[in-house]
Amino acid sequence: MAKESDGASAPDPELESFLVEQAKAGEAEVWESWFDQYYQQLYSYAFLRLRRKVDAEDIVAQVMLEAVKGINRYEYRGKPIIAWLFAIAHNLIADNVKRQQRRETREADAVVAGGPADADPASRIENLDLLQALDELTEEQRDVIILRFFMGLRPKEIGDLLGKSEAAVYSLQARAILALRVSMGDVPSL
Amino acid sequence: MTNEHDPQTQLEAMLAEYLRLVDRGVDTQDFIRDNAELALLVSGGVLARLQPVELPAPDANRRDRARAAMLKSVESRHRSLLRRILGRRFRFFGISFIVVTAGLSAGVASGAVGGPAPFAGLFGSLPFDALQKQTSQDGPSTDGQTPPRSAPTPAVPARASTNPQQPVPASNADALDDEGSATPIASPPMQIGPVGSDGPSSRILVAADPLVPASAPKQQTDAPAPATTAAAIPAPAPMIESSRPSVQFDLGSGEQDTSVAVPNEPPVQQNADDPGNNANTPPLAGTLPVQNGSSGDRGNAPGQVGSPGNSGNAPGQGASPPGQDGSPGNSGNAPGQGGTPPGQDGSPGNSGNPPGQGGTPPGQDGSPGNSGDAPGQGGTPPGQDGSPGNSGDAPGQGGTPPGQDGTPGNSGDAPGQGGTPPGQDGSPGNSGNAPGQGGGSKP
Repeated sequence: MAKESDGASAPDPELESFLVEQAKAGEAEVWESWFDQYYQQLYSYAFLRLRRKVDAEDIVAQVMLEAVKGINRYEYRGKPIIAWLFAIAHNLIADNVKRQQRRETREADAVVAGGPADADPASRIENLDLLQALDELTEEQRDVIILRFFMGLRPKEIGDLLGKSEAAVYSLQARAILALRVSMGDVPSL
Repeated sequence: MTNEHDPQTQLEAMLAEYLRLVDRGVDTQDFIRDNAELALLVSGGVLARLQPVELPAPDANRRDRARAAMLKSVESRHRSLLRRILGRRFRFFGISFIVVTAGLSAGVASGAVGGPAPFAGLFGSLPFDALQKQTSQDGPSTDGQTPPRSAPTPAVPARASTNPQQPVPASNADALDDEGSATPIASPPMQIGPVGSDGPSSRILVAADPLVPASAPKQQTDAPAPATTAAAIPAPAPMIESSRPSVQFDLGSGEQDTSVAVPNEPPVQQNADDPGNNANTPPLAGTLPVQNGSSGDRGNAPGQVGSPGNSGNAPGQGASPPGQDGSPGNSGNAPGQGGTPPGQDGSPGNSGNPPGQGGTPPGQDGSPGNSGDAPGQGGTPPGQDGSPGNSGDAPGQGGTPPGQDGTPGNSGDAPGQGGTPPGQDGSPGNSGNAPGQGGGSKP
């Protein structure tokens, strides 16, 4: 079964603190490394929330620009830098969703969201079912599922990001999984 | 309010606990075995399907553009930071800009790359003004030391200077005060203002004041104007953009007027009773900062030449001019002020900050080490694959129905009972008795 040990992937706070200071000093290499390291995660998160590839790419670009602008106000307090970037992405996505509620083109893009065109049709349908099921979750549940299973963040990191305790994240996660189970037509045993 | 006994709530709590155990690396086999419902959920349910979702890859070009935009933003932000640090000086596209905020009207000057030359033109005028102020405060003896603006000495009529018999115009203190009595001596152009260490330099050349005819007679009312007066007074020296006021002199006879440029500085104090002093003032020539005053002796000769009307007296009182040679000592101040502009060349030193920050990048090479953690989390999905082993129990239960098929086996007993009827065939054997009684009834 799972053999992962808690805290194994936690970034070194001392190193992250140093990198933050370097980033504040305008060190381009730090920003480049952050961009390379977190682009895919941020993109996946944005895509799963917005379901539009172009929108997701724009969001990630905006996240990095906002980070550059706001780095001076950022104080490192032991939380991973990715949590801060996700928080920025979260806010930008919320704004985006407010502005463009349910675009008409969303459904067309949702087909793409099922996976690459050359993927197994069955798996694409399954993915599509799953993504559609995600829409039926509450926003908190959706965030937890995306951050936990698509981004690979740990419950503690998710808690830091969402401002919740680790136990609350577990509860949200379990509730979301059960809701997905019902949504996706999994055998309702209850 | 959730009900603890609600199956959904129980399952949720169970699942949350299971997820917690997974995250902590605890072996969950026993936990799943004890919770059959959870086993179904984990094995073929949502959890197994959450992981392999594939998302469309982002466009590489758009990603590159996003990266370039971010780096550009970092660079511009860094530049603005430096600009704040440097304050009054920054460089943009190879041109140095200096922001002047200390009330200088020159504003912003631009010059060659990196050079302090803009300062030269900017501040060059300051010493001149200061010098004017300084010389005007040096007292009467400094009259004529004021850095002149025009070029040098006009020709002095030789006839006037060599004719001691010329009637000397009455000289009085008033006249001297207004006119100044110094016999002008050509002053070499004086440079004021710094010369930039590199880049084009700006120089302000300040020449001597237009020479004033020494002891030009003024308002000679009680004596007839000498016949030579008009000729003796040289034409005013050409003024080059002089802002000094010009004073009209009445020569007394009303026959001639001449305009003489007079500097604003106080005139030389001379003995009003001795008109001859008027000619002796030439030592003022020593006031020139460049000549160090030693040339004061040289000034005498021209002075005697310059005074048209008084030339006769000058030789007789020749002793007094040496006494006035002390005045050149004051002229040393003016060069001292010229030193301030070079002092402003020090400001480019601020640009040294940016290179200092270049040392940090090597320290950041350690960050990629964190990215190794992500693969570690990927280990959890394989862990969930073990649960299907429990689902094997369900088929095992399916075996009971065949067991129920055995009940029809009991119905086989019925055919076994069917054998009794043939056994009744023996009864006819009893009927043999009847014939024996003869009269018996039928059974």
